[in-house]
Amino acid sequence: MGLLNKSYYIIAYYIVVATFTCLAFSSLIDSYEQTAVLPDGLSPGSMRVTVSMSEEDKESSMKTGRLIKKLTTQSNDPFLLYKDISSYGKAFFLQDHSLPLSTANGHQPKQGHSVVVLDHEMAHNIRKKDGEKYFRFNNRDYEVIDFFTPKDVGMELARKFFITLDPTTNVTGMYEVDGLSMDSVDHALKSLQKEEPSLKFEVTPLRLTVSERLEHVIQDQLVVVASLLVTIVFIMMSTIGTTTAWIDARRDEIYARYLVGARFRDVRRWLLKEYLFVVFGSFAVGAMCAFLLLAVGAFDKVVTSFDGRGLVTALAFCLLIGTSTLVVATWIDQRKKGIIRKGSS
Amino acid sequence: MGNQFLLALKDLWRQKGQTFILLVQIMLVIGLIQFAALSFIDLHKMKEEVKKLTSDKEIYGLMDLTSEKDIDTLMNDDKKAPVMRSLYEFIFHNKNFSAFRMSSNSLSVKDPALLKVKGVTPIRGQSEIEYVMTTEKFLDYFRIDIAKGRRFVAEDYVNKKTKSTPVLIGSRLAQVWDVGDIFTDAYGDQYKVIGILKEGATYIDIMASREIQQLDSMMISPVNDSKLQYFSDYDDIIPGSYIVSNDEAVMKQIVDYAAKLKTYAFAYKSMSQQVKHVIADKQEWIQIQLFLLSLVMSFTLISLIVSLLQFVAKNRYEFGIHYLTGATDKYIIMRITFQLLPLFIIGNLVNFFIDVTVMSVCVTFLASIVLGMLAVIIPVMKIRRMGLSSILRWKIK
Repeated sequence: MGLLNKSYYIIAYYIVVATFTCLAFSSLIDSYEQTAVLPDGLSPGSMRVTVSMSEEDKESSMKTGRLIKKLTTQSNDPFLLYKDISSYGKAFFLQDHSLPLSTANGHQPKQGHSVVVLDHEMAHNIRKKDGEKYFRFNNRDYEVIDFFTPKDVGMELARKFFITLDPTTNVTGMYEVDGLSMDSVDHALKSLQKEEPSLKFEVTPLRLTVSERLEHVIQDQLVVVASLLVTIVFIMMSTIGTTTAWIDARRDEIYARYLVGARFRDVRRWLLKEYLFVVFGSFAVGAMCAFLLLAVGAFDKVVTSFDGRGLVTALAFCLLIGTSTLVVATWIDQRKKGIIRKGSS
Repeated sequence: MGNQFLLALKDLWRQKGQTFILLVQIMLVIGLIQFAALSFIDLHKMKEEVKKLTSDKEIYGLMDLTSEKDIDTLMNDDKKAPVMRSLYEFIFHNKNFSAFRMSSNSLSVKDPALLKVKGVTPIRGQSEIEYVMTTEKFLDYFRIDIAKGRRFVAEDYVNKKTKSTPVLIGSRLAQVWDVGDIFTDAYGDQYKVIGILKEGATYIDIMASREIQQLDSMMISPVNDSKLQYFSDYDDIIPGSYIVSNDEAVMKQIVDYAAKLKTYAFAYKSMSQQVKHVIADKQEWIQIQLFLLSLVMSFTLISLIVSLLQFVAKNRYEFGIHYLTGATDKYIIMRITFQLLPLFIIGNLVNFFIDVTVMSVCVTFLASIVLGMLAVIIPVMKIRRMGLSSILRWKIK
């Protein structure tokens, strides 16, 4: 009870630190995991293929259909091919593969039909013809087979429509391939290059490296990272002073320990034990506060989940901060006030 | 009271380091409150603006689905300009619906007097003035009024002869120019001021941004039909157009006409649909500010309470003497409150460097009072509950 009475303000500090670090680390870990999720339902083994002409002004006579043919002859595996057709939409080709979008009715495109899967919000752009629903893009009508609700993934803009890939369009452009090995795609493109030597291509895995993922997390969670930095700055500004006052308030006990033969390191070990006990207790309350804040959706747009690993990281962070704060505070006390005397025995 | 204030200032000076840290924390809190208040005000204004715009008719925005490659092809096709002209005429001079467009940009003017105008950006000795180029219905739909001079007339949108472009200037720019003045930009193009906007005029390009644009430091110039010649001229205007109509069928007509002319692949969105996203964006931004604010505020509040309690503990004997010489609780409370007052005054004054509004200043001021009161309550309670004898006994200890 005596410890509690003397530690109100330290407890209050660490409850705030624990609440925000639990939220911040949960959010950072969640964001890091999200960077592994590729857009538009692509699996982690997917790759990006850029096909262009070596001379920029020259137009290729080759069509997308030729690329599809090469890919299908290269491997019997089912695959999905996306082509960027607009900043709002993509065209798809499916080889024994399903369209990996979570659609409202689970309808899949039929082979050989010009179809579209639309974002719910684009529904008013639909036209009705002979009882069927159509979406017009580039002067062509696509039958609407289903709707989806786009999800924001990483830094990419969510797409609003997916249409059947027209094999008669020019082969140059940006593609994403899912389901094939990098070698198969590379061979297909090399064989395409033999037919048209001015064709240039580049294949890159869509999966990000750890440093790229961390970069995305920092960009995505700028505010959370900033609030962690603010927390550290505030701890430096305020907690050391409060901890010094906490040590000050216990000077009678410290003197009594010296009188009965305690050494400096014994006193510091005892203070650290008590201090970490206070930090641990405050952390438990802080973690509960963080959980409650999330449960009531107080910061649902900043932090979305309460992650166990975030909790452990936050605990490690608080214990580290607590230990270093106490070490610094005892050092300050020893230098300024002589409450803790080095060499006392 | 003056004496108490002086004593408090001396106390603060004695603890310079701690005072500085507390001042930084208070300034941060007040700054964040100010930003959050401004965001709330902005959100409210935006809702009002959209409500005002869509009160009697629905407004639709065009979504340009055309690929970059197709745009490049169109850009390099010299024959496309006449086709674009007919699409422009179809959208902006159609009897069945009305349309407006605003595209913002900036121009550089060399006039030292402009550097003193709030909202004008100085760049290498010149002044960068934001302007919005608009079609005919813009002023009507945003209900922008003129304080002096005249509005644009039909002739201003088609005039082939005039050497100078007619412009309407924001109220702050009226410190430099008056109606009838002619000025030249860095490229030698002339502009003639034909009117001054009423203070507080705003607009929002809701399909492109979530921010309300204040026109006080901006200019409005008309899109001159006769100067539209190339594909790029039309491309600056057509894709971001807003169509006003109660009949959604006209949007399908525009989409079809653009496709028939082999120009753009358009879709459309209603403003009331788009505004939901913009409001959600804005609310997210406000929540981010509140997240940071609650963190900084919690730390600051605890720091203030701890610092005042340390102050009370350190000066307990002095307070005892005060009581013995006839001071009442009122003076002791004053002494403690004045420890914070200068910090809050400086914090609030620094905030005037931010582009504030009367409302945000009031909110920040009230929040400062509440925060100050919360910080003072515990130390005051503590000293009142101590009793004179225990205060004086402390010295012996």
